[in-house]
Amino acid sequence: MNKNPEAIFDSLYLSKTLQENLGDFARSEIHLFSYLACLLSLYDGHPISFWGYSYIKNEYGSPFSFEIEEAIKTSESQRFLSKNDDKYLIITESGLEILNHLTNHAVFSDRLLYLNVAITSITLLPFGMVKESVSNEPVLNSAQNHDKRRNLIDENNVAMNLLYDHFRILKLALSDKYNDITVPALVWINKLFESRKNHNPYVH
Amino acid sequence: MFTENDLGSLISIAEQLVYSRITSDYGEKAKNDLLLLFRTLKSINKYISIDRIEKLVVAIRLSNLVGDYSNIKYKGEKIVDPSVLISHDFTIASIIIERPSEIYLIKQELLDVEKERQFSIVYSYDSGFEKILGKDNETPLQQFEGIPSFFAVPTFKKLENALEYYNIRKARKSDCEFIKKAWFDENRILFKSKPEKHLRRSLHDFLDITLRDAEVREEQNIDDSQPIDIKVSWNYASHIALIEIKWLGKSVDGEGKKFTSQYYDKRALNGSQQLADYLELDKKVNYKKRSIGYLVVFDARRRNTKTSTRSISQEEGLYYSDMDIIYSPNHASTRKDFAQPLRFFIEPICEQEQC
Repeated sequence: MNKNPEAIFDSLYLSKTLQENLGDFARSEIHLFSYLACLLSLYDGHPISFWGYSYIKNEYGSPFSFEIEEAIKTSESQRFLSKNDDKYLIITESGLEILNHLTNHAVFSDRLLYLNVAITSITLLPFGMVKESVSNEPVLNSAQNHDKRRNLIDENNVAMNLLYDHFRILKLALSDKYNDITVPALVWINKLFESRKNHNPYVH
Repeated sequence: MFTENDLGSLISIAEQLVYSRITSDYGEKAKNDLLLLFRTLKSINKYISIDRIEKLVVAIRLSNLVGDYSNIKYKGEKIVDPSVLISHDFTIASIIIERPSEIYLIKQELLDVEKERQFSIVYSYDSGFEKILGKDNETPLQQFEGIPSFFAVPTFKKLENALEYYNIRKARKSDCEFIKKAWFDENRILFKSKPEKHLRRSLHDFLDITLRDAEVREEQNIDDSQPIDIKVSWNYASHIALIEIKWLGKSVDGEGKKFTSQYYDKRALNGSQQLADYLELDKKVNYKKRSIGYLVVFDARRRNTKTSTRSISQEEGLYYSDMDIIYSPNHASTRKDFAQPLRFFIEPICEQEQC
């Protein structure tokens, strides 16, 4: 598979920011937060093609991108990422250096907003809440009933209509008052969690 | 599915967000200060047991301050990072965060919050109640039962650690809405009929939320017979966990007049055998991953109870609290794929406690 520049940048950027928040990170967490960032770019009006790579649902019902996986493997082989004693990943000094270099490229600047908002969500909300909310968003949720591996973010996926419905309602409620996409992102995550099987296991 | 009917609740959620209130009070430049405050509070919670503290105030000076406020200096001990707090003893304290990375600790003294909030974002903890204060707004933080702070919501890499936390923080005092639903009486003496669905849901939801890098599913079929209660799969890992849940104690019908089930040690032994059978079956159908079996026993045994028992002494209520189950055969000692069985004793509210 050809290396995807966006996936390389995203995986390194998420590595750094996940590490700042969680201390270390799992591969699946890079896939998850890149997926959330991709959804936020759609909320912001970008076309599907803007993100530059795609996702399927893996056997555990989580979002998975072959391009992100390839990028992580490359980063491991280049020693930009290494494993700690818990077998979780950490970003190395050389990983931070290369990320620093990539961050200066204007080509990635438009996606930084969405990556940052995705990570902001786990700073301001419990990690498990964000994880659960993403698995309850309409596209991934509808994919739980399909075994076949197919692109999640695809115009031909009927569940995308539900996703865009969510975004339409969110914009209707919030766009007049809040310019910062962080607010609708946090509201969406809260609402998805609240509606998760009609209960909230945290708040009783 | 969202509809136009959700507009009100979406607006309400937005208005109650700490983020929107702080940016409303101080402008979007305060966003990074808020994020640093939240990250520092999570870090502080790793090193202090906040439920042993009476009052704590943590303030982060706004980085875009102009005018008179920027010259205010704090007294207090400068600390390198929050990990140092582990060696400090206090019941009341204030912590001040100044950018880029200076932290000051003032023990046994609280900052003047009303003054501080004019130029800082302030976190306040007072006997279990947490809030974030901006210049004009204050926002209470969500409280999670059994979890001492919004910033101490746990995540676990290992299932064993999650189960241990769940036992101590959730099961023991029924600090979970689902376990509460399982009880017939408010003193936690008798279960309602068929409490297993609530107990399973409670453990499933806890693991689902707190385990990192794992997929947690309820009632997974190994074959067409009985399903295993909970299955935990880890991404990129070569093993899965199969959790079988049993409960001990007594359950009563809706009117509390008749016992519907009475389970003692034998029930746990049956569960142990059932799990061993699952594991054997699983070996035949699951070639890809190694399964490890976990038996979790919710123990609500109380001594000398009748259907009419609604209060209980400590002696009777806690009689079984340290009485472990003797397993024979002991699969945990003979099988590598069988973890040591776990017993979660759920305490009743005893008469002395009520007084």
